[in-house]
Amino acid sequence: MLIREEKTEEKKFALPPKIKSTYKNFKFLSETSTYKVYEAESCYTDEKHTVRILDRSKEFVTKEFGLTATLFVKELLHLQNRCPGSVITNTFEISENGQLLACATLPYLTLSCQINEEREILNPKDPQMIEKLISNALDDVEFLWENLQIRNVMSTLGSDNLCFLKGKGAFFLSDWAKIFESGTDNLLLSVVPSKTSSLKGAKLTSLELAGEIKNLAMTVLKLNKANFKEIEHLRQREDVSSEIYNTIVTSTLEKCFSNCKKLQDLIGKMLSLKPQNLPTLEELRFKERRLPKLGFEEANDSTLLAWCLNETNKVNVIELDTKQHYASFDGAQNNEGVLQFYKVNLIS
Amino acid sequence: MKEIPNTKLLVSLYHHRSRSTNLEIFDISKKEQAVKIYSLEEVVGSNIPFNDSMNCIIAVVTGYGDVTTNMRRSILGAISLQDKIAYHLLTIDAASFKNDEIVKLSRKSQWHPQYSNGSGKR
Repeated sequence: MLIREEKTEEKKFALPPKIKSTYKNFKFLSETSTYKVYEAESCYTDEKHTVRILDRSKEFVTKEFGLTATLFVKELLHLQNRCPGSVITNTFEISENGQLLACATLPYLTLSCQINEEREILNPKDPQMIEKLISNALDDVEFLWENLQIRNVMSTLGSDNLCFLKGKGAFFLSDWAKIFESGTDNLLLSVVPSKTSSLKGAKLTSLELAGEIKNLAMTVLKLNKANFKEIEHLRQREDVSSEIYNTIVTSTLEKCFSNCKKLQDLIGKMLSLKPQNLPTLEELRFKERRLPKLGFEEANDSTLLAWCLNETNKVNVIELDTKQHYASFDGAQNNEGVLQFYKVNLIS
Repeated sequence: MKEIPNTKLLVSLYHHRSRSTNLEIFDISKKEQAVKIYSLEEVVGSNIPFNDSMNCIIAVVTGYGDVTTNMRRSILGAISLQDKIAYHLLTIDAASFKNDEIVKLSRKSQWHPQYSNGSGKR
């Protein structure tokens, strides 16, 4: 996904009538190989959404309209399936005899915005966030491998198309068409059924996804501004000593995630030169399964009860369904005075 | 303390009836990780006299004063400073990706003289 530096540049674009009447203040954000992405405000709620519009001016779209339009819709269907509520379904629109496609989603940004230091999207040192990133990205990679028979997903899409959907606290891969555009010949070769376990109906293994897992780990390092080029350089050398390589990987990860040995080990295994040392796909997803109450979606779905304390103004929050502690922190303070009443607050 | 509807943001307000007030906003979207995303500088000089008729306000927030939101317009109003500021108006952009862009002080509305009366200044 290309991020335009000149934000002020006014780009002429056609809007489907319903989107045009529903949204205002369109601001160009970025473009993929087949569609343009805008930020816009709902005329009714003033909420900001991201609007994507299939770009008929692209040569690839003109040449392969059926394919690109299909991928445009498939991406949205997949996103909605992965993160229910992320696609504003009622805004999906096809107009001009099927030539103009558009839809709004909850706001999202690509991780390249952070890597290029354009915007701060997330804390790249937060272990939970990184685990979620790895898990979500791998889910999409598996989907593309299994259902569209697409290979080399992470190397083609990379951080430019790895997006963070803040409202759901989820990551997803966009611009699937780029893989098709970047080399139809190669793609044709890659979609020819091979003797992989996935094509026999069995689940994919980390061995099959070794390249994707490695590229995903590299994206995490990039996000942390780590010196990943040295690791990449060593990986390309055939005569590299595994001890030297492991030492460099370990020291890089210690710098990145000094507070989380578990994450150091996980990414270390993802970067392992020996395929047998790769983490299993289960391991790469383990957090979400073992700790279902952690993360954003769960927090959004649960009912919380918050109250603050007399005198200290300490705020406590519990999950109402489970009656378990959720968070506690010091509320606003000033230097003088005594607070006099309790206030409880239900958060839906 | 009050939630900002349809977000995982909590507004924490601290009023002292005669000295000063403070307001902070916390993001509690992550368990065990409440993040302070906004802090209004402590407002010193408030002098709201105690009055039984204000109990209704006390019941709404901790201490004196109130905080209110209009999420259709993404605004939050709170804290007056007697004789100087009628209210602070903040804009809320819960969809913003950057913590320091979620809440912004939009305006401090000037105190109107008609707010003062003979029995006490409010």
